[in-house]
Amino acid sequence: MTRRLALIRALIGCAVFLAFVAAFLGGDATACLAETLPRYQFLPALLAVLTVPCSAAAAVLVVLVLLTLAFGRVYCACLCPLGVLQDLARRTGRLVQALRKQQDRSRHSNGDWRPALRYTVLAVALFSSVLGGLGILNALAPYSLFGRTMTNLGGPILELGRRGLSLACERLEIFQFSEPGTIPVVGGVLSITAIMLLGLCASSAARGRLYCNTLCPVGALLGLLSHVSRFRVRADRETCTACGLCARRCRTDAIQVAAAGSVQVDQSSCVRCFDCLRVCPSASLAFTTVGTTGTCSVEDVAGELTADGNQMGLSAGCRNSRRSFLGFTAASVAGVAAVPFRPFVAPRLLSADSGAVTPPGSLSTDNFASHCTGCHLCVAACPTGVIRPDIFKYGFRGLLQPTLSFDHGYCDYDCNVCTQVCPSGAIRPLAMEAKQRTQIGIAELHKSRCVVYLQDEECGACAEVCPTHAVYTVERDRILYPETNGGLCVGCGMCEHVCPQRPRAIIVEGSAVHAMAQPPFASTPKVPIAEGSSQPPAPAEEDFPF
Amino acid sequence: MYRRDFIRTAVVATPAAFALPNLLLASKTQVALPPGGFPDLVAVRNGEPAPMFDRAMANFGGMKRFVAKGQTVVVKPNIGWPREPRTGANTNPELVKRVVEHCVEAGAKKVYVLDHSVGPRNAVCYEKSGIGAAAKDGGAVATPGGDEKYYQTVEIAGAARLKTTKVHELVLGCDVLVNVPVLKHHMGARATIAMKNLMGVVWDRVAYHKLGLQECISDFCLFKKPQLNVVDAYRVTMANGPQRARPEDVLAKKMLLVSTDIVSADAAAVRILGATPEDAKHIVLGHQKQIGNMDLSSLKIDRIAL
Repeated sequence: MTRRLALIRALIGCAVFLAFVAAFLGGDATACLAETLPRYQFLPALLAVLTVPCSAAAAVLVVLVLLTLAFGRVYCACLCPLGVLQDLARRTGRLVQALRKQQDRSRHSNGDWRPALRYTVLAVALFSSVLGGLGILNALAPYSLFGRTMTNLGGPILELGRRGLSLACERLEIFQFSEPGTIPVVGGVLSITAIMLLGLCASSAARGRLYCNTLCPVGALLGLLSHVSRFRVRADRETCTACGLCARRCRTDAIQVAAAGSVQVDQSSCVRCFDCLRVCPSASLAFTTVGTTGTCSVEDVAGELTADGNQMGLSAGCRNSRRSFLGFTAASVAGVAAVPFRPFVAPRLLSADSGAVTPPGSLSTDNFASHCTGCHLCVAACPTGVIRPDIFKYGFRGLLQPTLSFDHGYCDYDCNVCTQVCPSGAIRPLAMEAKQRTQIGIAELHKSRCVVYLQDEECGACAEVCPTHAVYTVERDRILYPETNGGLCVGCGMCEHVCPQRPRAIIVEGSAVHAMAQPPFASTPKVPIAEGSSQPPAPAEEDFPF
Repeated sequence: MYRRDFIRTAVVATPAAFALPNLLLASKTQVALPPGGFPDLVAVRNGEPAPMFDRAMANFGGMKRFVAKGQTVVVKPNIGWPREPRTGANTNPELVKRVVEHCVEAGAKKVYVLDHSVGPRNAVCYEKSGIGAAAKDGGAVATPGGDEKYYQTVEIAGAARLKTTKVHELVLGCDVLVNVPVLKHHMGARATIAMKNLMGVVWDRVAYHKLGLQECISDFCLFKKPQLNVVDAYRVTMANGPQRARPEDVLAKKMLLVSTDIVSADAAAVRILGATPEDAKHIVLGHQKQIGNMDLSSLKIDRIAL
């Protein structure tokens, strides 16, 4: 069983990873995955709980915390898709090394600098987030990083694949793959994502889960909990030969082998991959609860060594405990210290004139900016491609948070997909009827630029496509002139998208706080029309008017 | 199978090339000319879409007059919007099915049904309008029109403003084009009937709006005149068209107009909306550009009540 743990965690990790890939890239077919899976991620659940304390997200958070308190960072081992992605990169790196018949170079000294960096990152991320800027958290959080990788890099690759497939299938008159997908490529975001992914893959190929114990704020937080976890990796001092294989294999550099029988595992760094259990030639390692006879915990070893008069000074175990305590204190202080400044700083971080249009269900620009984790799941799910990645649209409030761009698409009146998938409460769930009344912006007609007003020639593109009658035409001298009715407007941007003028003559101004539009013009049928042509409405016999 | 062929076709495409099938058709036509000749326009009313079309085609000498054995046909309904059939925003699916069946019965090798939908996602429009399924039931292939790769650049000789545009390759390569619009009030062009329906075989519609909607609609008909225009006036959007009419704006006129002349079809159908060709200027422009005849008094019109 002990040796199988590694295999079990690898299988679970791969299943989770594949499910997340499908959630981001599967479109309609995997909507159920996109709507559920990301809600079990730590950061989205945390942000969702901050707004609605009594929710499913709270339960998720409690489960994740209890899981960590019981078993340590199993979340990092197999529930975090970015963790599994790093494992894949590491495996590839090892494979390349093996092919080149190189020495296993993953052996390296225990980096003393890592805990310091880890807790600094956690403190800074916590401080800035409480202050009102999710930027640092969004840039570094594992789920956000994974999501951006899937959406910004995986999405375009998948779309290219679809194009190839559609070309092949169309020859056989199969049109299942012919619907063009959207490629939300935004140069800056793409570059940032690509660079971060490359760095991540390189670091994990060379040094395993380095990111998880340095830059990952979630890892740092779970590491604190993991420090007191019930189940731990322990060595049996009777059988351990101090061969050091476990330490060399460890992907987190969490194991130190000092002498025979003194294997020390840094519980806050260990991500519970169980590789050490698998490789131990004497089967001396086990994943057990505190106090099992015949094994030694880190604390035991520490005590033993000092009692033996070993000149190591403070043992690794003690150092780890102290660091964790200091880290915990620093992060808490940073978080709490930021609280009184939030009301002053947060509004100033959000550029007031950004004019950003946020997705329906986001309630307000402020709510969106304070909850969006920048995972770009809404970007991946949006069928019209109107939700686009962005870097600085919300200033320092929310780095890498997406926005709506009517140059590239428009919000489909009959779609509420983004409101269904958002896991962090940035976009709240909206039923279709509610979504169709949600005013994310208001269209403003600039008659000085409009083709019809300029040339007295018909166009009406805006009025034709408007789903709510917020844009309509009025006839004067046999010419149809567009007019607007802001009360009906939901800000879908279809009018702006189709306007032939440059700069466009009709532009949606984003609403900082979303309002409710009037009921749509065609919503309530006064005369119900029967479905199907067998029962047409009011068969009035009428002669031809020609 | 056909993509490359059509690209080749498109490269050599000239309006003259499209006249060729018509010339061939004349020799293949086995339909006896009735006394007084075939009508220019047949108007049928008070029936269901399919029987009205059957009746109209009987007066036209049957579909064999237009479709010869082994020919490729494109049926172009209005599938512009993700709306159900009851809204009248798209062509009646029963009519599309019957038109396809007529083409298949006439011996067409292949019948394609397509439109470049306005609404988001071509496939959703095909599905919601019921036309995707209707086309398949009738024996046609519902082909997508929502990707620029299907569209080839053409020049339009004699065009006032739309001198060049990109046209769906199947329309460029087909032998017979059957235009099956639905009659609707339109907030931009005043009315959308047969001439405006052909906006759905081009890629860049924004150019029409930029260059002048009414002129461009008529300009495109210089390039391509459908062999047959079948105007669905069964459920007619009388106001607030083309896609968000209130239920009370949609009237069951239960009419069908069929004409070989695209301008005549529009000139007659626009009156069902209570308007005249002067209101929808592309019809007048079509007449002036000699695309067709909008003077109904000079036409042979069969008016039939079922």
